[in-house]
Amino acid sequence: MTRAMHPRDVNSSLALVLLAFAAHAATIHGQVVETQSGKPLARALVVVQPVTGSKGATASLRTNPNGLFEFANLPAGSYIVSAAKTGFYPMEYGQKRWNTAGTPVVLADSDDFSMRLALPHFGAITGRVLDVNDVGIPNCTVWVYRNSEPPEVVEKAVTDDRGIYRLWGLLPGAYLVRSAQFEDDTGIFLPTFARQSLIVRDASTSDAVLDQDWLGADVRPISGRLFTVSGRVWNPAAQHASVVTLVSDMGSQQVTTGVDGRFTFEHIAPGAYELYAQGSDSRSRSLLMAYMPLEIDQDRAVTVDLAPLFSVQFSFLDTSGKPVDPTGLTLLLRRKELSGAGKQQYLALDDGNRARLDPGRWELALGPSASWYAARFTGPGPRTPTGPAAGWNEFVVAPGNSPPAVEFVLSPAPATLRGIVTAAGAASAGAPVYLEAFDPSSGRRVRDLRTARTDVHGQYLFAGLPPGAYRVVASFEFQTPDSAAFTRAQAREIRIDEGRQADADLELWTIE
Amino acid sequence: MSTWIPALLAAASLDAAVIRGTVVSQESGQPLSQASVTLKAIAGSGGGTLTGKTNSFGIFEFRAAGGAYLLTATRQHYVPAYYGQKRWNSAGTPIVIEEEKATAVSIRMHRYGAITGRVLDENDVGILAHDVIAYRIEQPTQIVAQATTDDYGRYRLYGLTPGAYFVRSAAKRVDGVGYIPTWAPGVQEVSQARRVDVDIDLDSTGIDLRPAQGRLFEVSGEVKSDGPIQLTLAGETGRQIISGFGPFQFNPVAPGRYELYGSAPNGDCRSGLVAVYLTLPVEHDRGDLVISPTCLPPTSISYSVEGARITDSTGFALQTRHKDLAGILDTKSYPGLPGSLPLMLGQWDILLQTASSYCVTGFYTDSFRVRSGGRGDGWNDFVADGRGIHFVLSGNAVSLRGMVTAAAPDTAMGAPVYLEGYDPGAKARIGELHTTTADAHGVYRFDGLSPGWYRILATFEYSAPDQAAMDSSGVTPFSLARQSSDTKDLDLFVLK
Repeated sequence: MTRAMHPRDVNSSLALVLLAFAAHAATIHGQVVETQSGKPLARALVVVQPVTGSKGATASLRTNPNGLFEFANLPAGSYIVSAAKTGFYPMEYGQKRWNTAGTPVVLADSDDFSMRLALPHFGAITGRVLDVNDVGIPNCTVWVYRNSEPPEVVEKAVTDDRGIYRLWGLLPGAYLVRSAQFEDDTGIFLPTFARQSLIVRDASTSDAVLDQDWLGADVRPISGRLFTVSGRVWNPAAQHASVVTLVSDMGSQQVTTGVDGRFTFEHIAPGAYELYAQGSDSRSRSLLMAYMPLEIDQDRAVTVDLAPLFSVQFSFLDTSGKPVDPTGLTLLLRRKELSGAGKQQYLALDDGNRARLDPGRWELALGPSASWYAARFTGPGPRTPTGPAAGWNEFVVAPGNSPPAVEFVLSPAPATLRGIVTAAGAASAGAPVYLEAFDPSSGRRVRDLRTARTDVHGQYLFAGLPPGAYRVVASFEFQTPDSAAFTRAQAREIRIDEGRQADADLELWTIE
Repeated sequence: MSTWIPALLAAASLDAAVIRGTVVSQESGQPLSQASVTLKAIAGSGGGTLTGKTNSFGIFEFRAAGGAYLLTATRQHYVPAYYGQKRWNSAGTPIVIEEEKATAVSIRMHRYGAITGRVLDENDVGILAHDVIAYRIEQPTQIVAQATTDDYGRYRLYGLTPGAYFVRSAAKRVDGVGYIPTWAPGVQEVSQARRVDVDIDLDSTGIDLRPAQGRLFEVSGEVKSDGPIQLTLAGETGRQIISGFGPFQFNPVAPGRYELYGSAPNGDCRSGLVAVYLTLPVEHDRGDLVISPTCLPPTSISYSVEGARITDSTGFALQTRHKDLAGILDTKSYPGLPGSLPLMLGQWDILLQTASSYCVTGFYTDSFRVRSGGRGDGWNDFVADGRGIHFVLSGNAVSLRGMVTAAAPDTAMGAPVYLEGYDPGAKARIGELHTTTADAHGVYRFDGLSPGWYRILATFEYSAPDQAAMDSSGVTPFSLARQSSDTKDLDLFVLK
């Protein structure tokens, strides 16, 4: 083409190019909407992920202001398509219900696949905090706990001027609602579970459901006594202010001491707490810290000694006692707080296999590895139960005179589990496969669930498995099945031996 | 001491009058427990002040000498209620109780107003966790309430006194897009903002807001200090507060003017504090900030007295309030006449309360050696930067007294009298409103006044008249001369 092009010509020639491509490539396009209203969701994140063995790479984009998206030039194959937006429950294409897995989109050459992904809102629980006359209590903090053993804090809200609260962003399930302690001109009130209980056993539960509000989870706080925790932080290096933090399962409070190191926390409800202090040595410009678990059932006066916080010394040995180079290992770390487990992060080690960790309780796990599994764990702190080290292992970092030492013994002979998933005699591509390590005597899960999806030929593989008893199931009916779901799905029980390859071909399980 | 109080009450109860009543919510009629109730005798009618609380049925009871009283009920989160008031913002009228008789009353308490609505995107889908701010429409606009939207974009701003408000969304970054502060219903200019009228016991609903998309900027850097420091980033849509050491980062902000300040205790400094303060225009990312706190210089305060020396600081008190771009932070009171205060760097207001025979006649700072136009007896604003401030006092305070008369006899008893310092040139109030109550004979008195211009009003129509209420009551300014004791009789003002 030698003549100058008009904008319209550019468009038509572009269309030609696209047409030429379209002869081979497939397209997925669609719209993301709000389930309740059908209104388009702008800037939702849509991800297209090929099933293992399919051509192409994972691609993502955000929907336009009209909630529309289009992935062009996709090679023929199987794809999992998902959509997410802040404040909405993420969904995959083909999910039967919110808690089932998405099904793959199978594209042949030149296919143009259209879909609508509807995102529901998370669940919510609403109610009122009420006084003896059913008058709402304003500005009262309300916590919601997952109804687990022990209950874990999930979210909090504050009552408005009418005493009404609304806890939102909740995954479906059973919850406990609890008002925080408070003191106002009408009295002193202890943390109280809905509807009116100081203990978990007598608490009433609320059920969160997607796109719905659970109404009427009212709380009537019980009056009682709150305590004072006071004390003094001793900084051996200098007279400086320190920051003292008192943490419970209902959040934390922080105060800065004066130069005399004195501090006071008032209105403390009875219960379990952790106290942290942080100061500095101005000469060496280094941090000084303290950590102290506290059980509060009366007024307490404590002395907190600041000490240098050494980096934690990690060592990794194989089962014959030889050191293992940790650079190839994925080491997962999370904080263990009174409110539950913190966010999972990767453990980054320096050249001497050391890491600087804040004081407190931590948990360490060896991430998925094809060449190792964690056989034993030792670390400072309360003796961890002598179970398999392959799950989360707790240790305590406390300031002191020597570096805390953590040791992992790794076995170089993990097992693998593989097989083919079929549905009505044909290989099932992109099917979710769930594996749980479980204790046949108690029927309980002993480690976190592992999940895989089959490839285009219906094959799955789990590597890096410690020896033991397992249950495995392949099904689109779950997202994160619990042990009861494994039992319901008549999951296959397998004994896996050290260093061996186990095989288990599975029939895709569906609810009739 | 506690042993003779019941004895005193028993003695009083021999021929005492009984006043009992209930405190209930105006909205629902539910009894309000633990409301504070005050029975205050009008001067000259006998009796004193009694306080108590309602029981769990919302009932209170006082035994008092016969006489005329003002009855007040207060409770957290409710509008204070005065017995006999016409409207929520008018003053209470006296209740006369007779010896050996029981009087029953009922007090209804009002809930403050609220504004509700949604923050919506271009498809009318709610935006979650978006901060919403209510500003009172008055100069300068002041943040009075803040709320955060839920997962449907709904918000509720509450605890609002009746009046006119503007609603504005704060800056927010979510799902790869920035929203800049926007006035309801979706405008950038405050002149185009929607006015929202708020009344007691009511929700002003449907105040939806569509924030505009725009560029937000990072504010981050490093704190270089011996210990942790609390840093505040203040702008006209509010404050972000973080605590830290080493690297710091605030949530992204809209372009505009900001103040960044912080302090931490430090024993090596004379003021006991290290501090940092900087004004921060944000027109691009500010990722390079290095915060190096230094010893906070204390603000020295001197007092010079015309014609006398102060030998006793009893009755004097300093009140300070710290201000930043988001408004007033906190008000503190210091008894006596402190010679220096560890005031955080930045904008402050300061007010000196005097013992009744003294008055303030001037205020100046080392930054501006000339005495400012103000007469010093109200709130004085200045920049705390380590330089000194000075009050000029006089030992010859002015007093003002007079008689309130009303159309019907005896109806001026217990009438509230309001006196405001006034600048006739600027037509503006100076300082805080002075309030007193006429006694049983209608006589009132103010002491410890500075010479200058004032306006005065006796009325049951207001419990705390603002400048506009004073304007509409037709009061005329008058001047109090130095070293005088003036008399001014007043007619009780009644709204037609």
